[in-house]
Amino acid sequence: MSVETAERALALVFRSPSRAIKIEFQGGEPLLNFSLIRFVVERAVAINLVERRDLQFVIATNLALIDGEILKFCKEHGIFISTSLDGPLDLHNANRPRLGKDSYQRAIEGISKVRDTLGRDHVSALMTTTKLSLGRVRDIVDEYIAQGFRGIFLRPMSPYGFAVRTKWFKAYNVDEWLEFYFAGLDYILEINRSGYAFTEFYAATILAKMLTPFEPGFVDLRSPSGIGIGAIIYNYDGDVYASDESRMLAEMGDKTFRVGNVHRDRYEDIMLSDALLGPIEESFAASVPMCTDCAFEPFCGADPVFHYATQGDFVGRKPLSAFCGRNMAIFRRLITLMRKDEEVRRVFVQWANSRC
Amino acid sequence: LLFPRQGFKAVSKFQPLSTYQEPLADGYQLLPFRFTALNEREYVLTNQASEFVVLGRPTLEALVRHKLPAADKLYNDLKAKHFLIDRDSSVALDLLSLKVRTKLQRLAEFTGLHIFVVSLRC
Repeated sequence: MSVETAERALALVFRSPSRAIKIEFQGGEPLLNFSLIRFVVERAVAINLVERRDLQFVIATNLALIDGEILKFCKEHGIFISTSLDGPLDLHNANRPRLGKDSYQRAIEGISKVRDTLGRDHVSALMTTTKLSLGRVRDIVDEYIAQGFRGIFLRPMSPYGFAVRTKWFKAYNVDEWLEFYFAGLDYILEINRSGYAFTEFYAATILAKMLTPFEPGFVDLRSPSGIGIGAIIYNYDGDVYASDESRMLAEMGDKTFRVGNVHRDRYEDIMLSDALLGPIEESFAASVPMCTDCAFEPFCGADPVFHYATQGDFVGRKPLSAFCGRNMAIFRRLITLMRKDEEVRRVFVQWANSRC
Repeated sequence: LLFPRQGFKAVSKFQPLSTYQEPLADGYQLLPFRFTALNEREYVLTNQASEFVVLGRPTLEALVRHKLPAADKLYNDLKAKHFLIDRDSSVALDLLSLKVRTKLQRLAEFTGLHIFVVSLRC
């Protein structure tokens, strides 16, 4: 991404009326272009002297390149670090091959360096579920606890980008993932019962919908869909995409969710484009066939990009939808768990409120 | 001196029990909700404000046939979560719409997360 592109993108960022603005740097590996990160942060802070938004920065990095200079800059601007941790050494390294076979080592050392400089709360980790993860959810949760994290987001595999090219997405089906997820949830509840507070963040998001008056606004589980109006992507070449997944789809050659370009289009052109409004309107869960009659619709969301990627249209046939099958099973399980056990209910209420 | 004020009795008497049961004599109205089976015996009911309640099939049938007695232990739960209104709860609709507005308030904020793809290299 060039300085000119970044400058144009920043102008669009501050056109959003949102009182809270979070700018997240992604790649590839964003630290390979740290000079541009520095430019964007300093420029955004300068603009914000006038705008006065609640402004935050996140760098999503594998931490391989983190050094003293970068950390000093992050500390200066309160930048958050989001990194990847897939589980114990063998699993993490198998998922993330590097020449020196040291992905895990670098992640763990990086996490520790970031914590020392920026503070414990300034680094979070995300895991990716692969075929290799199945059957190992306890190991994965144990690794997060060993590294001092107070929660984990047990994520399903996404049907985009690298995952599709490597056929990982097709490597396991919804039932296999649910077995993994529910085993993880049971184990995490066991850990909570033993006195260590530890959250599963996907459940926490759904529980916030079920047990609080608020909507957590999680981009992948809200209706209307959060594409463009919850999160938006400025790609390295200036193209604007409706979501992270939209950009991955574009990398696979399908630019359906390209909603504009920072050099050619005005804010109004982008936010009112058919490429954005079409999928949002068509996939609105309250009016989609089957969702409109579904009792779980208030807890669920619209994911036009997922359904387009897997079924070729923004709505999709729900009986064939992995998104639907997965979420329905989770809604039922969460309700059943908290009805059966008052202690689980108390843990769930805590999770629900920690997200708001 | 705030209390006792003139015109107020120092000791007020509770109304008889029949006062609290009276509004229920002419039944209740259902507010919009959807339901689905949770398992072989129970159903989940949800409304637009994401309130939910779990009922056994006989209770659900009684509810939708307007035959759920006010004395049923779930009646007040259903009323508090705006699945039904009776003469006693004229404020329920306002509360329900307020809750729906609260759920949707994030929409007005619009785009909060802005992702910059600064490099494609790994």
